[in-house]
Amino acid sequence: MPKPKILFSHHPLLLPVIKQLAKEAEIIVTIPNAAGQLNSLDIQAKALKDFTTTETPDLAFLWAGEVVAALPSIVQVINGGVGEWLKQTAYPFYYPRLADLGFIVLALDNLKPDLIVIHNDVESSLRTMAMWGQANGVPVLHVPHAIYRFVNRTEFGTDIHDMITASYMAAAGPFQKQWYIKLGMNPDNIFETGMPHFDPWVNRPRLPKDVARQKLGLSPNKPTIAYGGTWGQNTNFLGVSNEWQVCYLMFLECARELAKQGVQFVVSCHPNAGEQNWGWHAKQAQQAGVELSVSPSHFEVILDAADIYFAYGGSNSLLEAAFNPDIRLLTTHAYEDDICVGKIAIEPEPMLAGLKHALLSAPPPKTAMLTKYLGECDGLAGRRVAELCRRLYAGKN
Amino acid sequence: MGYKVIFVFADNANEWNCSQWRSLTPSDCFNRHQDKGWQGKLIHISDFINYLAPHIQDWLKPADVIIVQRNVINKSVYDAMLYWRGMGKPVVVDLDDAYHFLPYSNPARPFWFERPFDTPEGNIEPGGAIRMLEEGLRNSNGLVSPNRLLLADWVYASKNSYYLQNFAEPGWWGVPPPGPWHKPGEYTYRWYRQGQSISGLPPRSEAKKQRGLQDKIVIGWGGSLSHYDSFWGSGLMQAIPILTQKFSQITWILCGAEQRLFEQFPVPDTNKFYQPGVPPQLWPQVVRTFDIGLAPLFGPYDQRRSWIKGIEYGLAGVPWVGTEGETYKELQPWPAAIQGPETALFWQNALTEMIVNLDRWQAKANDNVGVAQHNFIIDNNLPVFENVMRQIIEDAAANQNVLLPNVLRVTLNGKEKDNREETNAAEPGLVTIQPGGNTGR
Repeated sequence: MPKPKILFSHHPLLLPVIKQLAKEAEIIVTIPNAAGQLNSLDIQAKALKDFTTTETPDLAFLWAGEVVAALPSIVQVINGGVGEWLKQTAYPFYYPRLADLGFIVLALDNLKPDLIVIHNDVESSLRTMAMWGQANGVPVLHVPHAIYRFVNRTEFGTDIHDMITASYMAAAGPFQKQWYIKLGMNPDNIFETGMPHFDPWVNRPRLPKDVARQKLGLSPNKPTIAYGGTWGQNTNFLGVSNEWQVCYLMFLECARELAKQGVQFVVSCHPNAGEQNWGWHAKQAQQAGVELSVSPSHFEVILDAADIYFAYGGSNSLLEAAFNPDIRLLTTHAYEDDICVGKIAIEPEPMLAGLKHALLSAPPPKTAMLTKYLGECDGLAGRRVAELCRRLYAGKN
Repeated sequence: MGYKVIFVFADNANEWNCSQWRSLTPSDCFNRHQDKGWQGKLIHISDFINYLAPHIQDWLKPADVIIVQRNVINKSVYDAMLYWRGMGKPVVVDLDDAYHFLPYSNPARPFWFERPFDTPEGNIEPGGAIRMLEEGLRNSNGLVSPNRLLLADWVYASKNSYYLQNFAEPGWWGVPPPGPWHKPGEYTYRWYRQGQSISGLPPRSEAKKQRGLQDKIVIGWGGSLSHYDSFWGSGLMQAIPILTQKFSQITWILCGAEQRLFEQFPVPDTNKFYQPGVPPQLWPQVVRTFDIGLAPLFGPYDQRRSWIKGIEYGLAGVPWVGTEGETYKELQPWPAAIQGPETALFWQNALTEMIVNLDRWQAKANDNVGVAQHNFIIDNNLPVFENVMRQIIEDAAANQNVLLPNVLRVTLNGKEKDNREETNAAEPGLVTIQPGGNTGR
């Protein structure tokens, strides 16, 4: 009996799921680089482009041309600067992009997967795969790579992450399930599995605080505040926000005051934000006159070193930090109903007062918050997602 | 003194060879000497990346040293390496192949040179896995290799270099396992007497008879798909038909995966024999059928191999001819071997000498089996491993108070400041930023 064909999008969180299914299914991933990386880990995988022919690019462009030709009737009704720009540049702007999507559709027509697993509904390529699945009766499972929140927007539907194209959802926990029900997804198609990304954090052994601090160039005995650096993720239709930068600069002002009382600091930069972002965090600290350590790596060591972890609103890194019972969590917004996460306003005096208060108070238990967002927290989310994949492709057959 | 070593191996079942020599054989040897404090464990690289999983934590936590075999070409692997380094364990990379010199005849070349890969900045660039290998080395505590040229090639990317050769499994080469009555370094020599047959391996005459080659002069070679150029470039291929014409009783045996070479061998079918690949523990019995062994090399790729063929012939009592160079430099004094340049004339002359005086050469080879066992059986070489592991640990400990890699330390005026004093905002130019460890980016 031929093995089922499962197409995965390229995200590290899906690796534990792929590993579990690798022996019983044919694994295909969206980009050749990801296939190569899986093969280097002795997991046999193919790339989606392996299912194209020499004619596929031409066919994709042909199709894109037909779609673009229909654009004038659409852009005519858009007024203002955007409308004018579209009228001038719609063809060259959309033509290659639509051809890319056409290439994916043609590859899927050849591949005929039994299941498609994606990590978000944001990227046009992934959304195309989900729509292809819906149109062809192929189950599409969305395993979110993060728990989205109501941050920097006024209502549902004003952020790219609010779109749903997949037919099924592997929700991290009750909170995320409710989130997608509110967005209009059928509750019967949402399964609470936990998030595979968090499996390694369950029962993680920890370094002693003094050892962790020394490895980061910090004094072993001083109280330590870790700040979660981030980057601009401009997915909000209503505009971009630089509040994350404002928050960091204000934190540095507070840090300079707290340093006089013997507090020390470490900044954990987002690992995907790039070297420029990492350097920006260091340079701002330099200009503010604050001594600290900055790193895009060793997040576990940073959490082991810290007494407080402070992240700009909505960050999923607070959930990772929540597995550490000894750490006090602070944020600026989001997590409104989670009393174990202290809230600090992005204003100088309240922020300083909030940090001082947190330094003096014991960390509250975080179990309820973890259950709300991540369900069972038993380290078996990857297995549950793999089991869900089995049920879905079996149902198709 | 022994050490607990974790070997992160990369071979899969279809290509099992390097992991046997570099991982499983040393690990098994360490576990035979647990009374001295040694311990060896294996973990596949696809499990190594799940470094926070509880069962992986339990498996790796006791390690003194972690050795990762070749496939440090993936960000997940770097993360795991950095994590264990953050936990105070030295993590070194083991390389026994010159991927940067892979010839076009090698099927692995596109993977190492042509596939696009993610850069640390998140871009996709050409350059193949070689670029990622460099990044992997920078994320490690150093490089271990059985070839000094390989160590020299990568010295710019690896913090430290450790030379560690390949050694053979005792049981496969007719050597009884060590017992409590054996003194370290002596146990095999005591069991061998000059002129005795090697216990556990059949006499050559019997081994040849089993294949119907009793009346032939068997000249043999075995290897993987990476030796195509070795035959053509070393001059051996040109010498083969001349020798076959001169000595019609020669049968050339080719063993392993390289069927291209067998088909291209310029001799009649009656003068060649193909032996498919065998499991590693049965290989000594195949080598035992050779009257003469071959070890051709060509170019920089081959000069970065380990000495495996030379020591196998030594352990099997087979005289051999090979190309001179770094690979077999330490075996230059071997009495039962002739080494020379990459020319057809050398092969003609050397093999003619051996064929004409075969009895004398085979007697020399047999006489030196004990020496081979003394020098090349792994249990006799624990002091070598002890030295290397100790050096790895000491070098890593010397860096213990240095920051983890990828940690930037922002300081004021380059010196510690008393935080209780009034602090003025630092003037530009007075504040220093000190990178911690190797940022590698």
